[in-house]
Amino acid sequence: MTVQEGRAEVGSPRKRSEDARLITGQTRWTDNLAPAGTLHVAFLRSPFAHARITRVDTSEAARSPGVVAVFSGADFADEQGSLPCAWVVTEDMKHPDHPPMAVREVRYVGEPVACVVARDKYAAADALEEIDVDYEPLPPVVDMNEAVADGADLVHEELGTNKSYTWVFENGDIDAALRDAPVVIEREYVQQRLIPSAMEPRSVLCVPEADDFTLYSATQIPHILRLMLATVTGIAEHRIRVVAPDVGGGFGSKLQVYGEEVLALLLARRLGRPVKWTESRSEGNMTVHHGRDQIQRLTLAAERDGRIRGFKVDLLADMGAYLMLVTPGIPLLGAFMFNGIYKMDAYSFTCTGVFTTKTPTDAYRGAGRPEATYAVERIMDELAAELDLDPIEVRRRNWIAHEEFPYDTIAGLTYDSGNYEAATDKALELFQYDKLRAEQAERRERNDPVQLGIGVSTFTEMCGLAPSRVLGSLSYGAGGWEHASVRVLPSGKVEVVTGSSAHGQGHETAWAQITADRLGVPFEDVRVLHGDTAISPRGMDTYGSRSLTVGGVALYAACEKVVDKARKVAAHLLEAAEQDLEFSDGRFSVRGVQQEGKTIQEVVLAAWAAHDLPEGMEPSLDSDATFDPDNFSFPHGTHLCATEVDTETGMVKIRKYVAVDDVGKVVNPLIVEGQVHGGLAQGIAQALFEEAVYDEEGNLTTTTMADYLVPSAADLPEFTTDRTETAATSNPLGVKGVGEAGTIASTPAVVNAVVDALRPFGVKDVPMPCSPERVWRAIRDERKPETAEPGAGGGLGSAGGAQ
Amino acid sequence: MIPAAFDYARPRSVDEAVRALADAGEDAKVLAGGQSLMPLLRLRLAIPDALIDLGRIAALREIRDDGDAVVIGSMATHHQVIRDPLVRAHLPLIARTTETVADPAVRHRGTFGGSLAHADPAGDLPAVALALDAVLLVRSPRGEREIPAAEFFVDWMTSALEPDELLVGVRVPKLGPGWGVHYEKFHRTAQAWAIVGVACAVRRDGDSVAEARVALTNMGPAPVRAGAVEDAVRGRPISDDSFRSAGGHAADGTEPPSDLHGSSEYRSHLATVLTARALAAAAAA
Amino acid sequence: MELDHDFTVPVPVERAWSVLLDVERVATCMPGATLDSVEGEEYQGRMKVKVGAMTITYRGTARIVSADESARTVTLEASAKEARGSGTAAATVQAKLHEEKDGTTRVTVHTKLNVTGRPAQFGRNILSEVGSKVIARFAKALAEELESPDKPEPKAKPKTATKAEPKTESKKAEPKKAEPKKAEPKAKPAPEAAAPPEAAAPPETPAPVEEAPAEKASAKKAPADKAPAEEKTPADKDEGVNAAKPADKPGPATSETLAPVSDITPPEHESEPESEPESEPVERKRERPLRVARDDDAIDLLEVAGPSVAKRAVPAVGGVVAVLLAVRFLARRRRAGRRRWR
Repeated sequence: MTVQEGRAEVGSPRKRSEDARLITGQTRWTDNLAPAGTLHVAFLRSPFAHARITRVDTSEAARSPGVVAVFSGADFADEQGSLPCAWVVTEDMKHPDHPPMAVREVRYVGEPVACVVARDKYAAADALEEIDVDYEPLPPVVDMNEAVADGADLVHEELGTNKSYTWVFENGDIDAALRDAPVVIEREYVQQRLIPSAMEPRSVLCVPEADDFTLYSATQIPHILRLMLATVTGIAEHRIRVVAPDVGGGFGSKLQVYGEEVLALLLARRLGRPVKWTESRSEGNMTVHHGRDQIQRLTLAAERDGRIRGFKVDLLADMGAYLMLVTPGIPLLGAFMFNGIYKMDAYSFTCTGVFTTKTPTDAYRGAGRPEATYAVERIMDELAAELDLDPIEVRRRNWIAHEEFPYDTIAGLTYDSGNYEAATDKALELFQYDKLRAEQAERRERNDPVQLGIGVSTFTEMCGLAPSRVLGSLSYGAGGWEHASVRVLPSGKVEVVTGSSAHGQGHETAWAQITADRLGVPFEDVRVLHGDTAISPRGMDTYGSRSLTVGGVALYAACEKVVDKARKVAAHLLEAAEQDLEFSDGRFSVRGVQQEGKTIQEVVLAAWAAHDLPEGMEPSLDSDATFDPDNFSFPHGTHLCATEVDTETGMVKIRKYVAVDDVGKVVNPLIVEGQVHGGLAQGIAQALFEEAVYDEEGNLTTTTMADYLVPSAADLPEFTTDRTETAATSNPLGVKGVGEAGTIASTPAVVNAVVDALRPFGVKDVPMPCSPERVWRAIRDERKPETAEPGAGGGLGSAGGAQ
Repeated sequence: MIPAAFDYARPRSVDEAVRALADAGEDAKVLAGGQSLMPLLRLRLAIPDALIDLGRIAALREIRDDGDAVVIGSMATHHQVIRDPLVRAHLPLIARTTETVADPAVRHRGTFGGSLAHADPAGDLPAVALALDAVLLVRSPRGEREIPAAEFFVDWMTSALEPDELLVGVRVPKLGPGWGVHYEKFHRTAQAWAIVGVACAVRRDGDSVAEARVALTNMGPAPVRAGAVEDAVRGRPISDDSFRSAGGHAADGTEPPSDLHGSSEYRSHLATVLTARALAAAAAA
Repeated sequence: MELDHDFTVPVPVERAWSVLLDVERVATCMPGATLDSVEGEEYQGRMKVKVGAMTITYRGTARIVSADESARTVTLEASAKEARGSGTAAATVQAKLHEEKDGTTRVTVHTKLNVTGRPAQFGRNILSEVGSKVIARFAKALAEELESPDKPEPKAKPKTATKAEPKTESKKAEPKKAEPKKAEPKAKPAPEAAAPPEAAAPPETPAPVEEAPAEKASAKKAPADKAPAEEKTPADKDEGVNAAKPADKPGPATSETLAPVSDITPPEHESEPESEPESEPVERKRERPLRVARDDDAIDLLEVAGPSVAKRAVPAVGGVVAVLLAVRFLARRRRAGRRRWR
């Protein structure tokens, strides 16, 4: 079943209707909201990666001009609770307390220690200088390998270990697969730590009204946040309303319950005044949860012809100092993806979550799946090189053929649909693969100082994070359904209420397109409401490429219910049997008698007037629906990247990038294109530019955009994007989700291209990000500079890796 | 981030500015576009008592012909410098280099004089001033003085300006005919500081190099003139071999920093490669 | 981050040893440092690091944690907080004397630094850029101090030459141009203050003049009041505020203006015009008001211009900073109450 009926809004490349407002500044960012009497909060943050707090003196700060109150963690110790972790991945998972404001000990640079509430933000910032804190430094724990070694310094003394959990998945006989394998490839890759860098910094405003609280936050998850705030603070859920007004991006970083949000609520309660806090960029770089940060130890066993026998994955995943909302589960989202699109006989996955004295990690665009895809796609290129096969060919020999779907993978998932051959063939053609290979050979031949490299990456991902049953089996704390309701107003206009919470995705446009098609009303007649628990009481919010595949489908189902109700009324008005009515282009007509009919607008007005309704019919067409799919969706694609690598300087330039994605049916191709472009930029950024670097004392040295290199348009190539379309079978729209796709395949495609360029130099890997210096050192077969400075220079990068 | 409080003065003339600066004492800073200073203020790494904003002094924005030199007012914005016909005609190295500074927003606010006075060794313009033997024109209550670029950049973010001295302009000798110029900037993203930069001017004499001037960005606590390169390439034929062998001296005597974006060792290597390229590009220009 | 320095001074090891035990004398070798008071073994002070537009002031304490005469090793620990920020700096300085055959003394100084907060949070390593220079300058000043333990030259005028340049690190001498230049502005703010250090001023300290920066006022207070610094500071503060500017930034004027000699030198020394506080015998260091450091109170790269002397790879500034000072905050002075821009 697909959507096509009447005019096709679905599939039309409409410009996003929210953009005119967003780009002309008519926005409601949380920081723009300023109820009368709002007080401003500033946080004093730990300068130490690890220290005991021995004294906090706030008296001087409290006397500063404009200051209303100053609090330390101790002042809230009895009511601030512990920030939630909703994903207890193993029964014996170590799960330390996480006070929103540190009370006795700080465990990462940037952890809140005290806060000032003042009449304006300037006074608050000034008063921070007057708070005096004594710390007793404790040893920082910055290197994961050292953290899990015997006798390591501990992040949480009371836990007795830095290991939070070890989670294992095995299928097939991995020992047998490895034993006597003709080809065994072992690699260690480091997924460097990344900072999500949403355009809008975090901001929260809490307005108290007697016993009720309205909390505005730049969040992706108003519904989950409301429940969690109630749980953490003990304030009853029905007394809390959470609003996510315009939210400027998240990339997972706003899929979180932050201490600042909890404290805003508690401060508003204690002071009886609205309180607001907005972070600065450098503050955010230190304290927004980070992403990635894994050390991956991989062993791939294959036959001489390139067919994979088995794949063994051993991960160390950096949790940071605490477990936040879904921190421990993020690497496990990759557990089912290390096999990629390939068939194999055995698979073994072990992940150890490790505490370090760094900012906690959590979901970041792709969340576990980019890491997994990187590992398998990098090692597939290594296999190709080992066997002297074309990397495309080695993939062909292993991937699931289109006629084999649905396919049960070694990791226990059922891929419902896909056509890897089609996407790859299209990509090869757009890329002019053979021509570039010829140029590569020619440059190698003449020892051109600028070598050409070609990188291949296929991918699939489990997305549309939903099936509640599956999430339950993974011990995730919530379900994955989504809710939508459709309100048809007496004038025939339509309000759509969605539990998805858009923060840049374009739901207002896409949801209106779906509704317009289903109800046969003009696109302009549909308004989409979201992001407010008082308006949209039920929802599971937006993350994991789930909005369309779950929330969009819920909307589709709600629209169907509206039509069903309308059909009853129309049949009554037309004095016809329901089954004799046709609904097309927003009009009910009696089959065979086109001139006899009622538009949906006429029907809704009649329903509203209620003068003449069928027996037992309520005077409304309003409907709602919840959708909870049986399976994930599995978008896939093939990305090809050509890089020019200057072997004298190590500089990498992307010459050409082709992405062919299959995201199933498409509601709005323009939005899909935008999502792919942004995803590619972010994935390429991981390959070449971005890295959160800590020094050996645990100081984050990339607190500003001058050091944390987020690429701009000037640093990226022109993308060639295209699609194939294999409908998902797990939902009636046939959609798969696109939010994370671009981020997933691009990182290995770029690094594969860099390494491919350098194969003649014997280079087998360049650690990410492939900075010019790292490339240069790889060519010189040096992994680490003699003077081990942190960062792109090659020293102690994030994950303590890259050495 | 929010700066700490400061006093603010916005003089209308150079005299007023000089007076205001002197009155403000040692912990005053001059605001000359603010593209480097503002971030430091917001991070509270700079906590001056007073800011003297030169933004309203039109006279300081002037770019004028001064015979065999061009005088660039200290408050001429990068954008203005790039488009100025005098600069384009006589000081193409400045125009070319300024185009690589940061991004359009910064170039509309940031100023030529501000960049020099900030004396950031990673800034692009100090090396250019050094390569072109610019002279910095300075005013204070004690009068005027001229500081050659070679003496102006003293150390890391430290210029020879005294606290009461105001940079009012920069006199840059015109390059006559026969000169080719190039600025080779190496950075990871478009807006990033140069990891290493090479400012280069080459005067050709037939098929050989009559004279070359080379100065390096971010190869030490202050921009450095690569004298060894200049000597090595003088009189040599115009060829990649000449440039490569001369470029090999680029790191001589330098002490490049090690930081997140590159180690000292890597910078030394880069300097040699980039200098050879800059020489070749300038000779071909 | 760790730094090593190594130099030789032409004095016997015993003489060098006595200097090393004097925190005041060692501390004043740190550029930009000011000792404010002493409480038991613990010295309190400030250090201002100024680089271009950037300024960081630290306050903290320093004390000798061990002095092993047989091993000729002194270990000094210092820890400090930023006067206006949440960052900290801590340093452990271990100096070891080695007796050389020719009657000279080789000194090895090992410094461990740990800096937190803003200055540690950048990719362009502010610390290593500045710190190595500061430490190198400290080592050089220490060498000078050791060299002339009895009758030190007035410190306000940096010596032009010393036999004891740090060996390993110093690659070039400091450019001469820098020092004279610096001297000029330095002297400027001083007129109303006591005479320059070279000429010993009368012991009676003139009352703080109105134009004097607040810091000066507070520093001068020390001699008059023997109570521990914490107690007397509040009063100082008030004066500081009235005097003029935000007080927690010692203006460069302070250093020489403060004319440590005249203000604080104990009576015994009043009659010795040439004497500098540094020359006081070790034993006297306790229970007496402290003079402030000689020299300017802000490190300014002008004075250490030229190629850096310490190992570049080692981040340091903070350390430096740290080295001397200040942990316990002196009470904070309020900034002027008027409305200001930002």
